[in-house]
Amino acid sequence: MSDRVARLLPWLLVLPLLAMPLYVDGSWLIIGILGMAGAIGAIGLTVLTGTAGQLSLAHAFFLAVGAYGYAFLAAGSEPGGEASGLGLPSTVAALAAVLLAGLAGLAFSPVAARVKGLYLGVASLALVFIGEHVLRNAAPLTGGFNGRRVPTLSIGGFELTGRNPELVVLGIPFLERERLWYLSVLVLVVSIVVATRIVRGRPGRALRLMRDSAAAAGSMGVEVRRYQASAFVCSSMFAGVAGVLTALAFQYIVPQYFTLLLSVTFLAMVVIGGLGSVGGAVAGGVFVTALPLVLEKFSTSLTFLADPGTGGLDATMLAHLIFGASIVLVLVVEPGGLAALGGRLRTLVRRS
Amino acid sequence: MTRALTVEGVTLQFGGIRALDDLSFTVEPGTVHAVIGPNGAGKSSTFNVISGHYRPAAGSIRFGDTDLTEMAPHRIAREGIGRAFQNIALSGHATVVDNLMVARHRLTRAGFLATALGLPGARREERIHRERVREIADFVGLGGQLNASAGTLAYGDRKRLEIARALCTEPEILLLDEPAAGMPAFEKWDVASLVLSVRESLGISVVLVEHDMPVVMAIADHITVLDFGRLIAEGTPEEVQSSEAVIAAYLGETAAHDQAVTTAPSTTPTAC
Amino acid sequence: MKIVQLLFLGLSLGSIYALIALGFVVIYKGTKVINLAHGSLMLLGAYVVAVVSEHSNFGLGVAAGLVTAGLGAIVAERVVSLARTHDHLVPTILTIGLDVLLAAELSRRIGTEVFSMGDPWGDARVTLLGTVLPQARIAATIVGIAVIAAFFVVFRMTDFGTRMRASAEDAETAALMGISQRRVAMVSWAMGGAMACIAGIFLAAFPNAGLDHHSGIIALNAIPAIIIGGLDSSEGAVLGGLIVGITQSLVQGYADALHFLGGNAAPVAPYVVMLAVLMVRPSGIFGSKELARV
Repeated sequence: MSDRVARLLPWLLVLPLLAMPLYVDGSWLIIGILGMAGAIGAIGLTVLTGTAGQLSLAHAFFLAVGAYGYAFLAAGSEPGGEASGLGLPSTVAALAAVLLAGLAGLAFSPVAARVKGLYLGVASLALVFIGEHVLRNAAPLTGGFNGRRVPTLSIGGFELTGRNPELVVLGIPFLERERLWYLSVLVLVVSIVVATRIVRGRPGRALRLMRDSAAAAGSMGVEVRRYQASAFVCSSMFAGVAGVLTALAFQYIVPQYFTLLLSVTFLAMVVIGGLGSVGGAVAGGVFVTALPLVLEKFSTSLTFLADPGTGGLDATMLAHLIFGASIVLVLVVEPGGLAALGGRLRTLVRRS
Repeated sequence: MTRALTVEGVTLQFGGIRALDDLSFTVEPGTVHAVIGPNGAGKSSTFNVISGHYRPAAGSIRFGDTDLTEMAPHRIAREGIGRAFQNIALSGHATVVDNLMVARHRLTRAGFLATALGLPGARREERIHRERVREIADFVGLGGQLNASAGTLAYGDRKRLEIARALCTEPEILLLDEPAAGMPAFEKWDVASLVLSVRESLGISVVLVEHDMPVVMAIADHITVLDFGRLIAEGTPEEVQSSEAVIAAYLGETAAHDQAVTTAPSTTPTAC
Repeated sequence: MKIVQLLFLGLSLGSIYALIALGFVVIYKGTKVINLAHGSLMLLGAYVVAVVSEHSNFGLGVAAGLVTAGLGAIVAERVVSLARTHDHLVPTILTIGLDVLLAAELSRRIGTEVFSMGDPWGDARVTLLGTVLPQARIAATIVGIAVIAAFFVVFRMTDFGTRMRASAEDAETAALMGISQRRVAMVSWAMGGAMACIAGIFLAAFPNAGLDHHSGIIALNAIPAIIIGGLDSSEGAVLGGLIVGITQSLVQGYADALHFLGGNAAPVAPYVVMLAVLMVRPSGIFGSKELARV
């Protein structure tokens, strides 16, 4: 098989994705939607951590900015609403929320530009903890401890995350989840294209050299500090997109979701996928997001799983054990992660 | 014609140690200018000060009329000072062509947004510069390995790639830090002729730090000799060779040094 | 005398954090890894202390806890060392994997229980300079000072300390001088683990409610400490720990006056201090500035 075909192969996966809502029910679609949101967030983190060599544990914070940003900007000031809003058109609000996440990343650049690698990783912990604190306490904006509702996204009266106006395709009613599914596929494809271009293009080359030798990057004319900050901003914008999608999927967001654990989960995604690989981040993102949800879905038939809260091994805990073990295993056995395995598979395909 | 590079009264301190002590010399346009001296004499420190990685405690560095002393490395690179590193600071996983394209950074514009959107300008720029990079790769003899990843190249080829990358910044003056170190004799002379052709066909001045004396004597127009961070002699190869001070400085370590030169890779390259 | 009370409490809390921070720093100096599994190691040690002292006595419990945490740390170090890579992020990311694993297993074992440490101080209080302080916190301060002092003696004055410092300076050269990097790594991790265990005991003791599956997360309070003090400075870790302890204590104590900060601001306040320090000194108060090797 030619190189070109091998390279196009992954795109063929999009076709079954498009047909999915015709075959599976909403409970599977929501797992897929969250998986795609995870994949988009993971793409952002792999650009930062894999390509630029900057560790970040603040990813959950930027997801929160995207999620809450959208909810705040799009929500009308309906009477009795628990938290305020600006009432912008929802599409504008979604885009603005992504920009807002980028701005939040930019605001951190005095630190992000000067602090390198591991140091940035632990320094960025500040954002998660301070962010969570703000989410809990800035009740007028965030709804506080109880969280806030997420407004429906619609274009010209057509609800992309609602059920109006009615739409039936091939006898299947397209409700919230079916519509959001297609939106997610679209956004995921755009994210993959954008990230691949950045990683392969001029910015990606500069970031890689910065990671491998900051001194050499400087001597090639790369403004190291500015690029370090830019990588951070870029990564937070992907997180912002993931945040908006997550919010739309949940329809209700609470501070307890955007904690350090979420940041760690994203790190698990990019490590399992293979640091620096966009395709790997997508695979890792879907795997890590979907695993606990799928386990939970089958928890009644998986008899060794206990009910949550009873102190036994429940689905979330099992998922954590699997993530932890996968991180360790991947880094010890195959640091290239799923991406390296995929690469080997491609070589096999090409040979046959 | 290129500009002259003037190092004037430069002193560099590390804690209590003076790595460079009131050092002055001038690299005339269009010459191959070697900086030599025993180990620890301050040769690499000199480069680091010129390229902005270390800031001198006193003194100045001027390139033509431009003062480089306080500039950050990327600004100095933009002034047209290219640098090849001694310990091969390449991106090991990236391809040869990507390693060279990064050196076009100062000559290109496409930022995150333009690249992400695949704007026509960004694409055109990429195409044009790839063409030029290919020419330079041919020039140093790496034309056949453009798509190999840098880490898999032979040692000599990685050294050449370092030089090619510095050339890809289209410098007016090129700083080469031990380009022939650790190479077998025939490859050393390849590098030597490469350095000469850089000057001949590209009209670039070269500042060269090198341990291999036969190579230095054969290709340098002018030599600056350092010892303990101080200038102890300078002049043409003939003048330097007959200088008492130089002989004295080298005698101390001639035995050990010759050993290091003849028994090949004394400096193991850091993995990249 | 509220301020004196708060400062005392802050200092005692700070000495506990200093122990954790010192553990982070020792491990970092020994192996250039930020051990993000430190919280779980602390939980592991304290959990063993609680379980063993329930069945026998506190002294035995502490011994068992120290040994378990030390051995656990050594195992962690060995696993981390398996990753042969030049990427300096990888070992630290690996510790996150270990943390997730260990935390999941411990929380499965602990479940919804809250363990008391079986320590001899209980909820006794002492009056000192007109302030009332929990005995356990006084003990924490004394033990903290003793352990830190012992650490500095070992680090500064023994042969082993010299070897460790040499490795921290320049691992390659130290290895060439015949210093076993593997031993230095294992001992530094074991020391870090044991110190975390001691800190864990006092963090679970009165006035805190006891040990639950979430206690490990408290170790992260030492992260601002090491950034404030400087990642590669033992003195910095101690100073940073004290700053974090006092900051938390003051913010907690004056919560009413500081209500604009929002509820429960004490755990977050050190991070604000940390960001402020980062703006002024990116490598911390005592941290050595990284000199680019060219």
